[in-house]
Amino acid sequence: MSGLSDKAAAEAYVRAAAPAAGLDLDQAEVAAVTVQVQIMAGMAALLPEALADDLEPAPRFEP
Amino acid sequence: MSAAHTRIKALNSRLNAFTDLVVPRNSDVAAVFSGKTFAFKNLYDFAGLTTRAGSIILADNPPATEDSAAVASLIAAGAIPLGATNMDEFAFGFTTENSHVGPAHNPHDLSRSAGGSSGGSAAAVAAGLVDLALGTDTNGSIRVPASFCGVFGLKPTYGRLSRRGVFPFSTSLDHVGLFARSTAELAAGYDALQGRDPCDPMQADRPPEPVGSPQARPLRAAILGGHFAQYAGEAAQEALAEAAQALNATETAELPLASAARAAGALITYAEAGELHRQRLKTDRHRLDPLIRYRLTAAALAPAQWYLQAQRVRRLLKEQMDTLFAQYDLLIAPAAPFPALTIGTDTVELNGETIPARSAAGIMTQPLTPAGVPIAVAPLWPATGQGLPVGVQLIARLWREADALAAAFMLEQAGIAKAPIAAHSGADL
Repeated sequence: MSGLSDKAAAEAYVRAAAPAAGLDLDQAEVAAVTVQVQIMAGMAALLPEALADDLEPAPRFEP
Repeated sequence: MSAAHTRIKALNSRLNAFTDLVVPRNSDVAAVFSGKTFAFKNLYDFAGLTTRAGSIILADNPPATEDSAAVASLIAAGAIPLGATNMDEFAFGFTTENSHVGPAHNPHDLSRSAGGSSGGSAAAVAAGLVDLALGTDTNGSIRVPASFCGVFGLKPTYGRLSRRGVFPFSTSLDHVGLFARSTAELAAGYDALQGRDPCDPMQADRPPEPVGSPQARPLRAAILGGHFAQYAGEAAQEALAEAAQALNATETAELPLASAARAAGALITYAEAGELHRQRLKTDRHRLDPLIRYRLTAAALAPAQWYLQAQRVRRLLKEQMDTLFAQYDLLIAPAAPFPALTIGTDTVELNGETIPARSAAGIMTQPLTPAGVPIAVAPLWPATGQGLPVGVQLIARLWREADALAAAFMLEQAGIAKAPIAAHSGADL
């Protein structure tokens, strides 16, 4: 989950993912967005890696 | 022009709390809020006004054709709308430093932030410009401004109130809520907002559960430790200790997933907001506030794996909260790690770490939102705050807003929680 904390990996990801999202980023934007992806990756690294297979996501919170 | 509007106009050059004034209108019936006034964050639809959600990108949209459910409910209860309030662009922030219209200023110290993203609403209430104000809370956007501005706030249970006519931010975390200067008005406002709305598919199918006037009641209360103790600054610790004493909270409870839940809340928000704005990012990202432009662009690229894993953590968080609420009725924690930040602050030192200030403001609130539980904020005035308030979160089990409000009332009754009209809001005018 934390692989994109690495700058080179994050930049490669941004370059690959941006066109898929329909975003045509210039070099300065790629650099700035890469920093933000690294920050998000840092957050993702805080999530527990191993969760039970039957633990369903909760997009609609239903108590 | 009403006297209330004249006062807003006189003070708003200092506070920048309002972005729009609206023609007052109210229901003809004598109702609970007759004569009371309210403001609404400018992401609530108000018929005749363009809903901009703090963004110039939406400024050319046509005006809303009808009121949002929350605005309509307050008007039906007799409250009079006066205007729309300043906010972080698309609600993406904790400080209401909106570069398009300028920052909202804290009425208790004009050099300080009003908090965000509902900062204009909290500032308007703190300055005495309105009696109530509507905000929204996705990661703390009611609770942080309530703390910074020294007013009472309520984020009800997720799904409790209709979000019809509210511009979204992160749909699985967005909450409608409000600010007031007393628990009685907060509770009355909350009751006015309740009611099943068949037009909101995300609202829970539950009947209204009016809380009426808050009353003191025995509550088994505990302090949240761990993450919350780790990042609480001196003033936040002092406020928490005062609240704990008044609520007889002598035990400390742990929420082991707090840090992971904070990350989960952020990642869910990024993914949902990024997708929400993806089309706008293609054509209009250069018009976005610099504080959110690259975050939102990165958010649109967030891997689905992160989002789904974060939603699964949310399920675990709910289980941990259920365990705590089997033992306690109420959990308490600071609403912010420090008093209001000076506008423009980039980093802060917390727990020996240098942290971006604008995200640090939400470090106490963000771990709790994914659980969906109701949380009231009571404003305390610790000596170490040097005249500035720090709020305390009063966290109740799902659907038990009455417990959160009762705790706020007990702190108010004890004389330690209060929301005086700010001295800097123009008594000289």
